[in-house]
Amino acid sequence: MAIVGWQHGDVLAVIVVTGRPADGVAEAAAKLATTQDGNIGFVAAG
Amino acid sequence: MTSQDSLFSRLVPGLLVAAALFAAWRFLIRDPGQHGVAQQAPGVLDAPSSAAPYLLQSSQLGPTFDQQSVGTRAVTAAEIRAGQSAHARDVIESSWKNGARALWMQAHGSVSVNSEAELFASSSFTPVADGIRDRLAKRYHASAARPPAAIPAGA
Repeated sequence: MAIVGWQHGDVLAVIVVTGRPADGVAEAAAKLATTQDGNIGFVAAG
Repeated sequence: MTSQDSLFSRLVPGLLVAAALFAAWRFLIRDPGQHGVAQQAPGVLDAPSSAAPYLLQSSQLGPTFDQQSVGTRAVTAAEIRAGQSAHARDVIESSWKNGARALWMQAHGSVSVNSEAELFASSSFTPVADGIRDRLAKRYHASAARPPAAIPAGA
């Protein structure tokens, strides 16, 4: 299980990824958090 | 008798036309209704939240993940307040706008992904973030620990 939470301006974002460590949970959480942060930045910029 | 036969013969074409129209409506035009298509549970996908664009999108997870309608919805007022301190609840009352979450499950694997975004009217929501962090930390420590895998022979 991996949890990533962060603040982006007026938005609080959280990613929770569960699964077997062998399936790369930690790496997936870091990658998806970066992706979601990009969504927030894109919407905020628009 | 003749007049009855005449009346009947005049009615038959009308009855046939009515039957044909009913059959066309029944099988070709009528909406199948709620029994025709499985209904999706209410959620973000059905009632868009202004926080939904901040979430991960299905195209970003790829085809190996199925989005779950049960876990994809707006965050309720009760959920954002759950486990929060009195100070954090004051912040929520004055600043929280809305939130959304989305859940995906790997179709052929063990991974689930939960994406959540909470929108505030200002950037001063640290007490709420602390409450959510504490709640997730408890959830993390409550998850069952898995024993390490056996070391391969010869390693």
